[in-house]
Amino acid sequence: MTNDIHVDHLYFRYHEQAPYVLHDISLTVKQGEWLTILGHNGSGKSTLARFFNALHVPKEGKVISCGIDTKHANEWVNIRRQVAMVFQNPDNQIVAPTVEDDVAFGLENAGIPYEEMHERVYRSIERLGLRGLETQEPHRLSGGQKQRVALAGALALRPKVIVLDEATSMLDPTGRIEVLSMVEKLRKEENITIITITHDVTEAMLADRIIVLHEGSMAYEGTPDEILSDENALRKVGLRAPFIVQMANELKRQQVPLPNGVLSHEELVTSLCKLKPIT
Amino acid sequence: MQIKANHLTYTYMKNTPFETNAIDKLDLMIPGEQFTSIIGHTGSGKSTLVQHFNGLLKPTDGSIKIGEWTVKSDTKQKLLYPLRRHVGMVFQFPEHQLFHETILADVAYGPMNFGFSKEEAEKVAKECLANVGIDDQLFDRSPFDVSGGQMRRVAIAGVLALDPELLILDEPTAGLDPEGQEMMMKLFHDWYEEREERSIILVTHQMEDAARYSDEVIVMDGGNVIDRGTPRQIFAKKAELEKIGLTVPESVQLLEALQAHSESELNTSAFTLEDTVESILSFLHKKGRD
Amino acid sequence: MFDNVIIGQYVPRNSLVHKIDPRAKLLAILLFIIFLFISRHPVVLSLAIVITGTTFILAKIPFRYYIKGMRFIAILIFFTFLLHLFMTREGTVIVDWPWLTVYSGGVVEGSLIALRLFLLVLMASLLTLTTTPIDLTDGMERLMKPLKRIRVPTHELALMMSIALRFIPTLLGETSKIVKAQMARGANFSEGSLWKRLKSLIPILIPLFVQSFKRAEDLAIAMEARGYGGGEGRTKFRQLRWKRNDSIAIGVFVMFALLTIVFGFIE
Ligand SMILES: Nc1ncnc2c1ncn2[C@@H]1O[C@H](COP(=O)(O)OP(=O)(O)O)[C@@H](O)[C@H]1O
Ligand SMILES: Nc1ncnc2c1ncn2[C@@H]1O[C@H](COP(=O)(O)OP(=O)(O)O)[C@@H](O)[C@H]1O
Ligand SMILES: [Mg+2]
Ligand SMILES: [Mg+2]
Repeated sequence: MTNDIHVDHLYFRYHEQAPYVLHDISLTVKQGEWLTILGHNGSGKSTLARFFNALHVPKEGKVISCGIDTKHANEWVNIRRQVAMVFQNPDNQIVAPTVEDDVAFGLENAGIPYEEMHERVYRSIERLGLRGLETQEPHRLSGGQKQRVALAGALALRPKVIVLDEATSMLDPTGRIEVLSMVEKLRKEENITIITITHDVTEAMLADRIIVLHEGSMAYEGTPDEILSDENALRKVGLRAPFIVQMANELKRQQVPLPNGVLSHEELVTSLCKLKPIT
Repeated sequence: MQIKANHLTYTYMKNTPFETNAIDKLDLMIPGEQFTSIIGHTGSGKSTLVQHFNGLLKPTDGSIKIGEWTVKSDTKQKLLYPLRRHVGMVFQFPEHQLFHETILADVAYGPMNFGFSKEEAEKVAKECLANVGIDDQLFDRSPFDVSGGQMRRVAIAGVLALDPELLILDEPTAGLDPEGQEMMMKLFHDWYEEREERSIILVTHQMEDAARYSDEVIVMDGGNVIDRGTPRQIFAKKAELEKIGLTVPESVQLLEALQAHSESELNTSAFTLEDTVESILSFLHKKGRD
Repeated sequence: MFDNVIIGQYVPRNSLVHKIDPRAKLLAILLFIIFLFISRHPVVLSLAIVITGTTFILAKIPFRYYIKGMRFIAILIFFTFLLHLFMTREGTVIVDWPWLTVYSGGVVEGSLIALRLFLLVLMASLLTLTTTPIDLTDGMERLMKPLKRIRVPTHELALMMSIALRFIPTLLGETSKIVKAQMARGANFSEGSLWKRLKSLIPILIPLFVQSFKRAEDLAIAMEARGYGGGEGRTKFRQLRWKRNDSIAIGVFVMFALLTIVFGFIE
């Protein structure tokens, strides 16, 4: 069975009279890849994400998650076990009064027997670096820790895909790094497909592929190199290019002969040092 | 408005096992009429400190002087109301404070608390809403009926409507998209520039904003101020800042990397795109001369 | 503002009392309260004091913790004492002023009720101070299990309680934030007529309501995304294991109950 996600000509609106929030979305998320959905607030990112795990079900168009058509209501629980999700607000997704109970919540729902559940819970806690916080109450955790608890709860289900819907946007810089480095680790070591949703271009650099959503339509699709180096295109959809890209473009405008597709500090610094001096 | 903290201490949940000293015997003077940023790791006491500036918290020990008001642990609440007219405060996620039936009434709530008549208050409210870019067609809408970015701007108008002299901003751009953040910071800066006597104190995790807009940066750690200076002085200390979990603006990171890699001196304290480009260009020119 | 709310708070300690099974604790307290209020025999009362005192010491909760939490309760107990003192008209007259008569029976009744209330409150707070709310919920759910047969939704009730416990601190924090935000806009909650003060609460209650609603919605979606579908076919992460100490604890309280009955007959 394939673990890809296929979205096919998806249209969506919240009510009969309301305007369409998603227009003709078609995309495929390949097993093992890291896809970022980029877009400004209100562009429809969360709405789209909820189709991946059958929280929304298409009336127009089709979504197939891990080989299962999401229109079958009796498969929803099954799909959600394969496509886990971490949400934006760290406070509004932890259900249980302690860390370990929360990590176990999904497993309890799935009816996993005690011995196995116990093992999976502590393994997940260990993997996410939460040892020592097992019995801590959620409101005593930092934002980054809370999101790691949510990730641990997702991981314990052994999903094929983890969707992070702006999971870092309410965190401080430390928390953001904390969560993203965990996501990188999980993807590398557990071969989980990652879908991150964000308006942060630095976060988008981590992806293999980026889809830019604008007013409910797919505006662009490509590798980070292609998408993030196009300053004007990003500005048009209410986003900003990474600082390095802005710098490189400005330097090029000032006749500094830099190569195309410079995205990181290291690349820019080495290119600059290699340049012939200006006289 | 000048602020002077004298041995200021604040303890949460005093006399319980959860007792936390959030501010510890702090001495601090912040001059008026300037743009000050406070940076520090989460939990370093920034929010606790700034809530003393408009009397929302009273010191557990020590005292604080804001303009002509002095606040100590036994200062009566009643005496603090006039202070809040002069010191406005925008919290993180300020849209959570909206409550009225219409946007206009919500913004007029503050002025009316301070004795404005309904007409006066609404007049002020309309001006402030226009300043933050809310269209007058929206004035009679419910504040819960507009987009997230607009909600935040309405909430901010509600604070500006008090016409404070000092505006305190506690992570005001959290959760906004890049365009929203940029617009919000510009709005605050324009407000600040508008009149000579206005001051801003900004608590932020965005080093770029702290560097770009402030006259002075205050660094906090463990409930105390550990350093202060111009952005130029503070962001020249990358190693010290990293030790307490902070970073320098991306422009500085880039220039320092370039400096280290090329082993030549260059001006690393550039905080805008233009300045950074200029610094790099002069580096390339200098390379030509050597 | 809510810094001092500690009643009902759990204090982690590594003590014997902490380790007792929540079912045992709940049953023990139930026995204790029922029989404490049945008997007035001095031996039974002394025994109750000894039991409470011993539990208190075994629990290793710092003393200052109680004083703070008990202040309000103490006032209540004192009033109950006064009420009984003045209302009882039995025994000999010990104070006879024109406007006040106190009978010896009043002193006895007042002291008795004060003692019982005091022991009850102490035991009840010991229960919450030494048992995590989630264990308490769990214990209750299991003790109520037989009720499931008469269609009491025990799982849903327990889940509701556990979610409430999870969100109380979050909501308190939220409230304090909103109060501060409105105070910064000049709100005044402590001046003016009662009506005015009540009205001044609207700017707090509405945002709080809106936020809680949003939270509930988010939480429902998060639970759905994690495959929640009611109590059917669910397994439990929390396993309660009845240990020897639990039997001993219950034994002590059963003995107490038996003694109460015995002394009841002797009387
Ligand atoms: N539950 C809802 N009911 C009605 N409209 C909604 C709902 N959720 C979102 N929307 C609307 O759908 C659009 C896209 O929202 P969303 O998917 O949340 O965007 P994003 O996640 O990119 O910020 C917005 O215009 C928003 O107002
Ligand atoms: N309402 C509160 N109750 C108890 N402790 C608190 C409360 N608010 C903050 N603290 C504690 O006080 C310290 C400083 O917090 P805060 O002023 O919020 O820091 P910052 O704004 O720099 O993140 C932290 O250790 C925090 O845990
Ligand atoms: Mg969203
Ligand atoms: Mg803070």
